[in-house]
Amino acid sequence: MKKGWKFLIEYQSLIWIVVAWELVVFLQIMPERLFPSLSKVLVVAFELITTGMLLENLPITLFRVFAGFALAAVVGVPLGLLMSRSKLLNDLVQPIFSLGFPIPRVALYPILVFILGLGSASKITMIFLECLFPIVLNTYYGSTRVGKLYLWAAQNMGANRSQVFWRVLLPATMPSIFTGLKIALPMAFIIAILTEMIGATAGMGYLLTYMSASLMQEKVLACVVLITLVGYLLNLLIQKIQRKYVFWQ
Amino acid sequence: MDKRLQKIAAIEIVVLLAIWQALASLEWIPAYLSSPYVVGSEMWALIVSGELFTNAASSLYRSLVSFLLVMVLGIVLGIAAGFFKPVGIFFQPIVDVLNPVPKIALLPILMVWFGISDTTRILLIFLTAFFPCFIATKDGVHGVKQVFVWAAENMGASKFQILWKVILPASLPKIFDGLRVSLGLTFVMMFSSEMIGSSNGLGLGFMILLADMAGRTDLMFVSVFFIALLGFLFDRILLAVRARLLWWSENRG
Repeated sequence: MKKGWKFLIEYQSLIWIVVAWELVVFLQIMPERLFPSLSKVLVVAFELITTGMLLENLPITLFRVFAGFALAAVVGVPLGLLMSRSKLLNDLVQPIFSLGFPIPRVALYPILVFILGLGSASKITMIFLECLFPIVLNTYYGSTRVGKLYLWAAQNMGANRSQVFWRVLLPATMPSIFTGLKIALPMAFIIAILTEMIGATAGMGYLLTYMSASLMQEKVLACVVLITLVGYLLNLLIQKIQRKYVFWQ
Repeated sequence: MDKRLQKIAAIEIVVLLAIWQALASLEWIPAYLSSPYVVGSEMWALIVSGELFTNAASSLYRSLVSFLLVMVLGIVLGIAAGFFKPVGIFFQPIVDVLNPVPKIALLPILMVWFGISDTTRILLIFLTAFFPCFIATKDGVHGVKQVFVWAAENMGASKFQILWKVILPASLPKIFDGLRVSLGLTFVMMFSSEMIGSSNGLGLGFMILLADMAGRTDLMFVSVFFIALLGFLFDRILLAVRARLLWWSENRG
């Protein structure tokens, strides 16, 4: 009983929002067409799952998210590590990242569509570009901050270059790499939805715009609920992986 | 970025433009990729006619109004949530649930409620940019050394004085970290909210959309370049303000 009460107190803000929402519906302050009750939204969301609409579109979006994210990780982590080791590479690449960091890179998307078409290729490229920045920058700063003492100690004990890299530098940089990945994955999902809303023939973003064309708010809200759920689960996934591989943090 | 890296950046940009121009002149790349010369002259024409500035002005109006809202509400609520524990507990579930939502998904809903108007766009930009600022501010307040607060209390400072003279300055470095992320997001969402939905009115995103429909890639490059320029400029302004306000802080970005 006491535990339940504590739970209520802790989550009271959400409960207030739900109550206020239902009150607006109940008192018909807004027309129901525009402001459907939450129970109705959940029913529609469930229908989207059972009728297979979700299963048609979600895998496509997830494929784009993970393809772009994986590419960015495969390119970004070694690049960041190499930048911290080689001065020449750092001099060449660092200006690009410093200049590109504050720029809204999604604005390039319409041009990418011209080059790569409306399919997955342009979206994966966009996700790749967007994820590359946090991954490279975090890896780079993380590995430049690895304590010199560790490296000296390893060298003293006769470790060769590759041993220093694999046994000392990489594990010591791991937490920063994960900071980058943790920023990048939600970003990948957001960019996937965004680019699919700009133009696509499949995917969660497409489903959303398709539903909004019907002007049925409960369908649109149901889509938003499902997208929120997926975003939340993706967040959970990367946290789980982090806890497994960077357990000492 | 120090002077040397700035020089390298300048050289790299010039080399890239030269390669682009060369490829375009030799017609080794398709015509829709335009060329720096065509883009440059198109940009000049738009600047002379003033069209670029009217579009940029209405885009900037949207993103800056939202950013102002984010600054005021994000910092005030963030400090309240960080300093008063019940307020923090109250807001925590909302942040947990809403933060990972791609806010752009709310655009169709907001569009039905508020129409395809500046209200919709400003609200959407605000919702996206609010959370980084709020979370960073709250973290910043949590990071303030308790000793500072005790010292102020000892010397007879009131609650308001503690907040204004101790908590706010001490959490400013973190707040600026959050604001920088928020500022970047306002430009991303400014572009996205103008791109998605129907095209009417003014704005750099509309310029891209209209150019896209007309197949005018040169015009698209002009708007993309301008959005990039604005994003870059305002980031620099924020960093300059930060350096001025936080001259005492070690890491000045």
